[in-house]
Amino acid sequence: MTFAKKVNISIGIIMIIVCLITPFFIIDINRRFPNAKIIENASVMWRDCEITPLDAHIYSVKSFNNKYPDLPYYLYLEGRDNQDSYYIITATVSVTNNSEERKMFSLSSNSYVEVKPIYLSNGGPVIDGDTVIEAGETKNQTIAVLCSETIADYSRCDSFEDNTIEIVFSYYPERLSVKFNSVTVEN
Amino acid sequence: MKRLFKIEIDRIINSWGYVLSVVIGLILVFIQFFVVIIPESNNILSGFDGSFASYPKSIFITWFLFDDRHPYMFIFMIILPILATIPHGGSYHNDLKSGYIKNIYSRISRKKYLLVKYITTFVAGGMAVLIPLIISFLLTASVLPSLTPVMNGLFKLSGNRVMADLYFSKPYLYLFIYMCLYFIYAGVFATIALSASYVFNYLFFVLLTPFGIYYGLGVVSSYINNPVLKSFGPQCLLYLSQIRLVRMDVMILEPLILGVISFAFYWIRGNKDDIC
Repeated sequence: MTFAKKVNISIGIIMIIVCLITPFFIIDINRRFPNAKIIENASVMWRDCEITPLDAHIYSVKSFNNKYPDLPYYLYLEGRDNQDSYYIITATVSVTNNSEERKMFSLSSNSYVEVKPIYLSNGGPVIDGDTVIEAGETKNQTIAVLCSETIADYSRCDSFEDNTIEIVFSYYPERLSVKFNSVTVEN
Repeated sequence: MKRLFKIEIDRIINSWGYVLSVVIGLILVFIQFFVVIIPESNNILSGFDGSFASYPKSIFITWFLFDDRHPYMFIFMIILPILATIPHGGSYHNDLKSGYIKNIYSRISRKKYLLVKYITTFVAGGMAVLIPLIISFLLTASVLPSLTPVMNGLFKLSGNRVMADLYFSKPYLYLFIYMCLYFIYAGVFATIALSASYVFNYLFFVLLTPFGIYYGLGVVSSYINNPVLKSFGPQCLLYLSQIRLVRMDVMILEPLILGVISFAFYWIRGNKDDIC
């Protein structure tokens, strides 16, 4: 048997040993760190605040700037050649402060917006609502998220109305999110 | 034909080329495993605070082919065609030059020999690339959890990439498809050397031809920069994080077209050419 053959056979044996031993470790590590539990409730508790979804809209650049003419965030997109490939998604939630202290709670710094099936995920500014909430008080907040073809795949849906919008507060160990099952498209 | 397969497999197992190829691949994956994966596995919850922007360490962030923060994956991608070609890509050229082929053709038909040579070169090239990847994956999966990717920016793929929905829902299937692609691409590039045996007299150039085509396609792709075709450089097509936009049909058609062209050239010349 040549030396090269011995080495090749040794590599084969090592591979077999690795294939036989590693499943035990794989099962163990995945038992210690299982996938996140998905919590599906109408509202979620996050950082002593109860968050309930209210409504969601998808705007074109023009319709968003018409609705919110004082907001500077997406004015720069108007007039561009590819303006029609951008959309702004807004989601409004109510936030109830269940603690005994005044709280500062902003959707921007506490959550991420996901849109499926176009597989968009993005953060954005709070465009409406107060981020300072007194104890026991409920206030609404609206977050606006920019959607473009560089980060989402429009070909995955025939119409934006098919999309589900989700605001995610935590991904692990539980996926805490609020879902908006119906979306209004504003053209 | 079975006997010829056995002879060719024996040649591969006995060849230093196969040893060299697999060992180089294993060295790269072991270095990445000990330098990157083991430190991460010692603190899986490092940086995790429960917020949307954090997540425990997952195999789908730091496994070898996802790890673009370190050079090991890039080195592997650069030398991929060489790793695929060294095991058995030069054997046909050696058979032609040494006259061994005359012994073969006096015993079995040309067509059978050419077919067996093509298949064994394809499989040897594919396996030489796949074995280190499989070992790396198994070792990494045994120390890092297989947490499903989420869309919080920590996982490299964005939503507009090919098979993004698969990556975020069935990541193991996504990886399996890519491993199959690596096997096919490696096999195809290895078999390009068989056609190159008719063009070059020196083994060095025969072995280098797949590497040249691999890079040539990348250079042409970046020059053309077509928005419809997107990127068709093999390195971009095989990049798991899809840093450049690619198309699924290009990922499948490119090795198919390359394979058909190189096989056709190899087959026609192999059947027509005199061997004396």
